[in-house]
Amino acid sequence: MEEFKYLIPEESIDAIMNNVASLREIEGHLRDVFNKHDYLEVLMPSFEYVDLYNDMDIGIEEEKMFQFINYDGKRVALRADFTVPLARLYSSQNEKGEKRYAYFGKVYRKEKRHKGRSSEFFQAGIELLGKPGFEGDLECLSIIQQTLQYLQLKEVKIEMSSAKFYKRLCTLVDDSTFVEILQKRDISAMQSLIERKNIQSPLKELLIKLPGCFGDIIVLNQMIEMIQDQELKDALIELKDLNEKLDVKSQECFSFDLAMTPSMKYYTGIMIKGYSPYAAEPIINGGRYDHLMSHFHKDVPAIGFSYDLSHILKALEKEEEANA
Amino acid sequence: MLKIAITKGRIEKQVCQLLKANGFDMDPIINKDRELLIETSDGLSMIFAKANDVLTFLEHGIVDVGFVGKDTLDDSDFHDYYDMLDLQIGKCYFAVAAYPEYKTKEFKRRKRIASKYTHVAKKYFSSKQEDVEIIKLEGSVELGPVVGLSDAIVDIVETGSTLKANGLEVIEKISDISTKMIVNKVSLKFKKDEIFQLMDGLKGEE
Repeated sequence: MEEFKYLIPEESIDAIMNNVASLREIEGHLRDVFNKHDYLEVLMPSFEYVDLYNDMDIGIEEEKMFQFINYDGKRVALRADFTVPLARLYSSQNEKGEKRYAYFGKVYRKEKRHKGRSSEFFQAGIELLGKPGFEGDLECLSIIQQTLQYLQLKEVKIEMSSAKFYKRLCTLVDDSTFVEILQKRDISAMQSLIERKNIQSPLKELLIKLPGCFGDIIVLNQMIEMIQDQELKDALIELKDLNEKLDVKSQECFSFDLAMTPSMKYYTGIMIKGYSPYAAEPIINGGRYDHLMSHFHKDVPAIGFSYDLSHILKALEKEEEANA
Repeated sequence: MLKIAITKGRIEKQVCQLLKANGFDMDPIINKDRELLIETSDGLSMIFAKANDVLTFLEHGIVDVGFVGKDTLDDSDFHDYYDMLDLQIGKCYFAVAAYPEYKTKEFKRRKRIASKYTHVAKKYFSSKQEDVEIIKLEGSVELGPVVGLSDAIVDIVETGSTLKANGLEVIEKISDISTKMIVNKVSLKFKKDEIFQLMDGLKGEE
């Protein structure tokens, strides 16, 4: 057993030593921005019932959670995400109307072995409950814009899309393989799918273009022009309207990716993902989730997003190396 | 600069031929000796690696683009990449192969299946709702039935001549295999034009 003294389990993250200072600095700036917008910082429990996550059907597979059986014989998991516990908090506190939560802490999800990925992630984020539609979206997007400078990364790309657009596409294509094809942006498989299902214009052209459908407002405008289906069109016009309501500074921050697939199953409106060329995974994740609260028999619209500070720190380090 | 990883061997030759045919400068690659990293005049930086390592380099963002067989993708448990283009080369297929009597034989126990591609084998038999025992072999998987280790094998079939030479035959085809171009998710966002240019080149649509 001697050797265990020197090792950490494969799941663990390396101790952050050199860059604790940068982590705390970024965290501090984020906290200031969140505070300024009246977000209440909450310290969430580390353990949640596995069934809470399962019943919400959010797309975190059970095998990805770190689980144990508690004294009650119930299955308990290390916190795998913040949104679900915060939704529970809102519900159990019998909150009504608008509520703003901010959080800082780790989430735990099992990653594949020997892939150089750790299973704990330090996240910071906010959830805005009870504020529907544009107003809520705008508040969140503007907070992202205000925080960007504090991440200290020189090159960041933040993309928006619409879960409504995605869901309508799935309905129109109506094929069990479509989601995977879109997730993989598999142009060849998309072609075969079009042939197999005998999909006609203009949906056909749309599907062929889709894997490359990301970029600035021009991409969005082109798609709006091209699309015939009213529901698809409306979803994109909504996105365009939202973008127009942003101030110029924010507009410069955001671009679009219409081939985005929801990273969480609960998204119902706008979806947000941020990237750094120096991080292999997204550094910002978020979206509107207006139906999640219905699991608690409540009709409360909500939107939230999180920063993955572990990935941001790694990216910072690599960016500095690259520019050194 | 677009960074590319190519699976060494057959895929390397075929992809280089395809790129050359579509007007890319491949001379540095064709004339290479034992170097593992080569830069071409089209601004491509290429490394040559074993199939699974191509995937590893890609997921760590070391390379932007990878060329790898679908067999490797199918048997990997990592799926966080874009699988954008089927190059329609290196075509073959996964199949279950065994002695002819396998088809009619009644098994009173779990069948034993030998394969290098254990994920593929497991997935196939569970889709058939068959509970089998899977034994991993690293190469010459045909030996499984020949030496009596397994009842059948799951392997790549190209011409079927190795099977035939050992008295085995294809029992059932599982899925098609060909060479794929895969792309790192973040690279696609930051190097869109370069990646689509390469892709158009490979499709012969310049």
